[in-house]
This record gives sequence, structure tokens and C-alpha cells, in this order.
Amino acid sequence: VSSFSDKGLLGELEQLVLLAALRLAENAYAVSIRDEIDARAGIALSRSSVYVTLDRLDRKGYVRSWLGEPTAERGGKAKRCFEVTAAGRRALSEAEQAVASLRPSPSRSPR
Amino acid sequence: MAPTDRSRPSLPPLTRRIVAWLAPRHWRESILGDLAEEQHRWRADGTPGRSARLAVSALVACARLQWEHRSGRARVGPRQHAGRLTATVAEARGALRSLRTRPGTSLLALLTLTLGIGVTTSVFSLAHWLMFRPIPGVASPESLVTVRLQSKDGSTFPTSGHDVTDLSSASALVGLAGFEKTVLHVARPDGLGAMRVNGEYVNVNYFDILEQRLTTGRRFTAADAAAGPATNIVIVSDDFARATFGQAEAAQGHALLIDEGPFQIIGVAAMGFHGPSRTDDTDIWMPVTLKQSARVDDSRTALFLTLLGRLKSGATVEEAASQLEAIRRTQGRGSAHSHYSVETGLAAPTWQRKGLLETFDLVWGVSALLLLLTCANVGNLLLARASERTGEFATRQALGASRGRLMVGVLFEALWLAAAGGALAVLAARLVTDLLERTVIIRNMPPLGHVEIAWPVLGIAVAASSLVAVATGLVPALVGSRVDLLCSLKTIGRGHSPGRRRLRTALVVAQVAVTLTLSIGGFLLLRSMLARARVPLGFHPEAVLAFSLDPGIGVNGGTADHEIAYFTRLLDDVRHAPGVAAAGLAWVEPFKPIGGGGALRAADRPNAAEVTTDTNMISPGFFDALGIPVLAGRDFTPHELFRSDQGGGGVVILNAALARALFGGTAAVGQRVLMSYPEGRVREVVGVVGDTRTRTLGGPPALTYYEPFGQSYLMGWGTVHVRVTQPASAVVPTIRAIVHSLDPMLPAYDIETLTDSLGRYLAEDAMLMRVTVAFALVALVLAAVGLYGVLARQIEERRQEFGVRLALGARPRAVGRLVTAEAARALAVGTALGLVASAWLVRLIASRLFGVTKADPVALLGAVGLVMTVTFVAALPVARRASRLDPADVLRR
Repeated sequence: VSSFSDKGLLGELEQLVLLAALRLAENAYAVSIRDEIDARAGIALSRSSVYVTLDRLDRKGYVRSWLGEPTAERGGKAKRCFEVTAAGRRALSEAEQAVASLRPSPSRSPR
Repeated sequence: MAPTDRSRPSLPPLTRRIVAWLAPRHWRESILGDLAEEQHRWRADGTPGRSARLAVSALVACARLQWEHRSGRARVGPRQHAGRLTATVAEARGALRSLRTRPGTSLLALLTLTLGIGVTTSVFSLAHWLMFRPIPGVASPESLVTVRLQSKDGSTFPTSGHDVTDLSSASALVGLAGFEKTVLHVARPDGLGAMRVNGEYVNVNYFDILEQRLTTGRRFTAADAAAGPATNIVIVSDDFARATFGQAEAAQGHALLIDEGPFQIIGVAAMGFHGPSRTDDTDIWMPVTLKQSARVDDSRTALFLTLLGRLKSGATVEEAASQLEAIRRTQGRGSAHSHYSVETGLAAPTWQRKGLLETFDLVWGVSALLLLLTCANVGNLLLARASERTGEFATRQALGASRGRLMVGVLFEALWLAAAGGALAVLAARLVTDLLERTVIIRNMPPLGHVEIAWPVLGIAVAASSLVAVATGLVPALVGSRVDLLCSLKTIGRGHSPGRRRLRTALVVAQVAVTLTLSIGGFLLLRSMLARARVPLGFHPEAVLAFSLDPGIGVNGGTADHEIAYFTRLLDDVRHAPGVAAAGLAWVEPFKPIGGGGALRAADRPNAAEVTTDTNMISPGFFDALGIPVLAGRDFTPHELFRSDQGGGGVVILNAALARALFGGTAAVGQRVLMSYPEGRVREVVGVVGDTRTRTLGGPPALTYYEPFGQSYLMGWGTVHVRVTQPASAVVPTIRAIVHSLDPMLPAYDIETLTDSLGRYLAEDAMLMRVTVAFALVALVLAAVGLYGVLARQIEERRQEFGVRLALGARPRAVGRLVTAEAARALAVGTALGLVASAWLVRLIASRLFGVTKADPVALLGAVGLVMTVTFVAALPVARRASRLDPADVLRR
């Protein structure tokens, strides 16, 4: 993780959270992101990991956040909603390219 | 799943409180909401009792968010958090830089460490070398025992040849070997005269008992013993073989001309082996059955063999001792020797060990004090450095450096110092050890040879240096990193830290105490040395050259006639040599360890008490050579020399003290004395000479009688004393030539002036005095530096106070006095502690004091005065600076 971060690339967790947030669009917040990753990827993240990752992405400028409307089921507390920024999308694609460029290409693989 | 009012969730109070306390502000509300939402969901699903898990996960989440924000990770972006290693390296570099920016302090700390650790290490090395160095060529020394006869008063004796046979039946022992030291004259292979070599007569199983693997050749066997004096064989040391034949193997089978007889070398001992004790210097071993001297006495009362036994595995020293005791009872010995003393290992003679232990107790004590001083001083210097850097620390902390990092930095400074100081200390230790090696430190011990700084000692030195520096570095790191941000930022450059100041003052007090202790010791020893130099010896050692010969010693020890003829010619030739004013033969040279004791009484007085005395056998001319005045009667005549008085007609000369003791006021010359040894002989007093001190400097001059050389018996050796009219160095070659011309196989040895001989006698005391005085001087300098540092720091810290005082009308003098008062307080407390501590040191050196009492007022006052002077000299410039502060300038800042 640290080497990725040092280069400005994304960590695994960051990729997962960013991708989940992209999928959820305007409905992305801590609880829903965690549920999404669990439901789709089968990875049960701890609550704290999700918060820390979101916090980090926020400070790196890869997501933008705002407080939503308070609802009754949340005990009258507001949601913190997230949206992936353009920088976030770019970082995602860079990370994917980095991974893809290292994947052994079929044509070059030994016969 | 429409929410109802009733199901409006409320989080458990604990969870709520955790989040409210811990979560970063901008996360607080949403986290509370998220948790509430999830709890609501569980309730709807009917999942029970997860409030504890909720609280824990809330706690972890909030803590991790906080960590992210507090730690370096807060500044996110490329290369935002450097690795921990990088940070440590940065601290290490920073520490080095910080040491360089204050070169004075760093050099002082380095010097302190080098001196303190270097001296302690070298002393340790020497002690280690003398006491614990393994003896080469001796296998499992722990199962070896030394057996001696012991009398009721505790003194020990060797045993007779018969005892070895008797005691060998003890079942707890594998066997016993005996050895006796001797001196041999060996012809040089180049034919140029002979050398005097230390030898040992040994039982043939000697090397078996030691389980020694020889370099080459074979050990002695029982067959060698059975052959008796017929087979002349020897085993030589590896060093001797190399020096004589170039190679150890080359010696094998060679013949040596020893005391005019040919001996065949059958083996070369293990490398480095020179006898079973650490101070031995034996080079040639020969079976005791070869001892052919006419003087050999094979009776049970002839005690000459020291025994060396090897315990059987599992047997204890106690078992062996009790078995030997049982054998002793059957031996029918007299009551003079109460039992056999059985000591583990290769015990050095008691007197030697006692001297060693005493000396090293003292040197250790003094070194420990110096090490203490080293710690105090280095601690003080590092503390002062930390104190100066309060502002820097505060700034760094404000910029986000953790306290841990600051501590790492301070510790690194300590480690750098320790590493450099440790390395320099090893060099210093080398130098000091070489220096000590060249000095004879233990009275009458042979020169030490090559003292090595052992690896374990090196390890201890490095460990000690690290420990000292880390320990001293840790205090400032703990105290120094406890920086109150706001306060320190406000007072950068002023600094208010009464706790640290108190600690530093305490260290100065400790330094003053240690310095005073060492100074008192130094003064006492110095005064003792001066007192020794003032003692009237009763003779004039300057311009007296002495050298010894032993024509009657060795395997083929010459006959009495040969010895007499030899000495007669030698004296005659020496007397006529250029540069010689007078010459005389004597058995005992002043201040040599060997010496004669005798006893006698007035022969013609009924009930006269026996008087125990010192004695010496001399030739005519001895008194002239030494400058001892003949007070009454006459010197011996050549006619009396070498004449046995077995048939009567013996003569003696008394010293004045003995004459008084025997005859009171009446004239001694012409009186007769009854000798206790040789028992029953009656001799006439022909002269009375001046009193001398030739054995110890203390006490009244010893009662002494002199008899003509060879009147009672011949010892086989003698020392010629020569009064020279030319420099001794000019006469020595002449004497060597004379000795060589008389008998090339009989070399002269121990050629030295009596002044040198006396110097060697005093060497141990002189060394202790020099060491203590040197330590005291180092201590004085260190204490002065320490005090100056503390005081100078203080006026920086109290600048404002002084400024205000001056502005309000205080006189500059009064302000200066504030500083001196501070110094005086430290001095007073330090002096009190130092006086208490010196009582301990004085107890250690009590046996070394001479002509002064333990509470010698001159030494005490002198030491206190010296420490006081140095303290005030250190305080004076600081006090002057304090009184010259410009109040306007201070207040403006």
C-alpha cells in the first residue's frame, strides 16, 4: 500500500471504495459503500477501514463529500455523502493501467 | 419498512460518548448516523444484542481516524509520510550535526569518556591479566590443587621429597607432582659466556599432572626417574627453544651445557608455558632426581617441593584435604606443621595474592570514583546541551515532531559520543596498559611481560561506554523532551526549568564530593611519599652499584672451596678496577625480598633475653661501600672472611640499636654473644656500626648483626656492593668484563645502583600515588568545567531576574554574590559528602600511608583548600559577567 501511495497510486482498499462509490453514484455513503463491497465482491470490510479510506481519499481530493438530509432511521443524524471526483477517476484508471501493463501478455507468454 | 416513532433508534450511551469524544469533528455526526442506521437495521431484522460490538467498532473507527489525523499521515500526497527508518537516519545525522555545532562541549564530553573509560579499562585489563588469564599448557586448571604444609600461625611451607610419595596414595587424587625453583647457568650457543635461566626441578609426572601437550618431543617418564642422575635430560620452554635455536622443533635432541654439564633436550613445553603460576618465568625443567648439589638434603625436614595435585573426577577439595590429613597423622611429623593446606587451582603464594588484591582494591576504588565522575560530567554536559536546546525542541514540537523523535535525537547524541569515546578509550587503554606494563607495580614481582587487552575486556569497555552515555543521555532526553510548548515558545532563549537546574546542581555536588575524596587520597599518598624520601637510611645509596652472582647454585653447584676462591678473586679484581672506591660482598642487598633473620643473646649475662634480629653476612669493605660508619671497634679483617667458626673464634659486628638492646649503656666491643643459629656458637663483638633501614622504611631501624661472609655457612650466592667514583654506566662494562674473565659460564645479574633498587622497592607506592594524584587532577579539571557550565547556564536563565534586580538598584557586587553563593552552596554540600566518602577511600589506602595519620590535617585542609580554590576560580568569571549585565539591555529583550 505504501509504495502505491508514495507514487500517488491507489491502494487496494482505495480502489474498492472508489469503485463502490462510482457504482452507488449519488447514494454513496459509508454504510452503503461497505454493503456494496460486501454484496458484490464478497469482502467484509471493517467499519473503521471504510471510514479511514474515505477520509484519506477525501484529503487526497479523489472524492468530494457533503452532508445529506437527516432521516429518522438515522436517529435524526445527517449522512455524509461521497462523490468520486475527476482526479479520483483518473487515479482509478491509472491504477488499472499500471496493473494491466504488468500482466503477462498472451502473445509473449512462452509456448 | 416504514419507520415508526416508537422504533426511532437511540444509540447506547457508551457508543455515543465514544464517538462524541473521539471522532474528528467533521466525521462526528455522520458516524453517529451510520451507527444508528445499522442498529435500526438489526432491530428490524431481529438480530439481537450487538451493542457491545457496535461500541468496539465505533471505538476502533474513531481511533484510526484520529491516528490518521494526528500522525504524519495527516499530510497526504506523494511522499508525504517518510519511512520510520528515514526519520531515524535523519535524527542520527541531526545528532551528529548538533554535536559539531558545539565542538567545545562535545570535545569535553569525549575527553571525559576517553579518560574515564580508558583508565578503567586498562586497570581492568591488568587485573584480568594478572588474576584470570588462562595459563597456557595447563589443562582443566579447575581440577588442580596446590598442596602446602601449613603451620599454626598460617604461614605455608613446601614439602619434602618423601611427602610426595606418602601423599600420592590419597584416592581422591589422580596423582601429585612436586616442583622446586632453581637458577641455572646455560652456555650461550654462540660460545659467548652464559645466561642465567630460571629452572624448575620437577617430579617426572609433572607434565602428566598438568596434562600438557608438548610442542614437540616427549614428557619425562618413570624410567627417567629410575635412571637417576645418570641420564641428563631436560624439557625447555617454547620461547627458550625459539630464542636459542630459532625454531621450537630444532631444539629437540640438542645438547645444552648447563652448569658445565651436558644435558639433552627431550621435549619442548607447550607454547607460552613458563610454569604453573601466572607469574612464573621458568624456561628449563629437569627431573628432581638430577639434583646433584652437594647441599641436597634428602631428609623429611628438607622442605623444598611445592605440590601440585590433580583431583579425580567427582572428588572434592575437602575429600582430598581430609585424606591428606589422615596420611599426615601417620607420618609422625612434629607439631610445627599443623596440616596440609589444599587450595583449588594454581594458587599463587599467599603473600603475592594479598599484595595483588590490596593493590587492585585500591586502584579499583579510585577507578570507580573516576568512572562516577565521568558519568556525572558527561551527564552534566549533555544536560546542559539539552537545556540550551529547549527553544529548538519547542519549535520542532510545534511543527509536529513527536516527543519520541526528540528523545531519539538526544539518545543518538549520546550514542555517537559513546561510540567515539569508546573507540578512543580503547586507544587510551592501550597506552595506559603499556605504561603500567613498563612499571613494576607489585612489589618485587618480575616484570609483567605483555599484558593484553582481552576481548571480553574490550566488550566490557564498549558496553560501559554505551551504558554510561545512554544512561547520561537518557536523563536529558526524559527531562529535556518534557517541553511545555507554550511556555517554551514564549521563553525561547531564556528557559525556566528549575527541575533540570536542580539535577545539574546535584551532579556538580557529586563532582565536588568525588574530587575532594580523590584529592584527600592524593594528598595523603603524596605526603607519605615525601615522608618516605625524608627517612634517614643510615647509608648512602647513591653511587653504589650492586650485582649478584651465584657460583654455588645449579645442578653441578660448585664446592665451598670453589665458591670461596671465586669470590676472593672477584673482590680483589673489582677493588682494583678503575672508578671503584670501595667494594664489599654481602649476602643480602638492601631492599631485596630475600633476607636473613637471626636471634642471639648476651653470652655472659645470666637470664639475658633472646633478641630477634636481622642479619647479613658481609666481607670487609661492605661498610665502606655503603657509607655505614663504624662507631666503635673495627670492620672485619680479610683473615676473618670465609673462615668457618665451627671450632670457635667467631666474630660479629652489631649495629648501635642491637648493642643497646643487648648491653644497655656498657660498651659492646669485647663482649660475647650466644647465637641461636647456628645454635650454641659463641662469638665476640668486634665492632659497632651505625643503624640502617634496609628492609622497610617504617619504624625504628631494625636490630641487626653482621658476621663475616661464610662464617656460619655459604649460601651459594652473593651480591657485590661497589662504591663508584665514575658514573655507574661507565663502570658496568668493566665489571662485566671482570666477571666474564673469571668464569664465562657464571654471569652477573641484577646489576643496578642502590638508588634504582630503592626506587623499585618504592615503585608500587609511587605508582599508586601517581595514579591517585593524576586522577585527582583530572577530577579537579572536570569539576571546574562542570561547575562553570552550570553557573554560566544559570546566569543565562536568570538574566531577567538579575536585570530587574540591577534596575531596582541592586549593586553589581550583590548580583555577583548571588552567583558565588550558588557555587558556595554546591561546594559546602559537596565538601561534606566528600569528607564522608574520603573516610572510605582512606580506609583502602590506610596500609599505604607512611608518616601521616589517616586524618592528617595538612592533607585534609590542603585538599579542601584546593577544591575550594578551583571552585571559586571556576565561579569567578561567571560572577563577574553577572554583575556586568546591562539592566537596560536585559529588560529591553
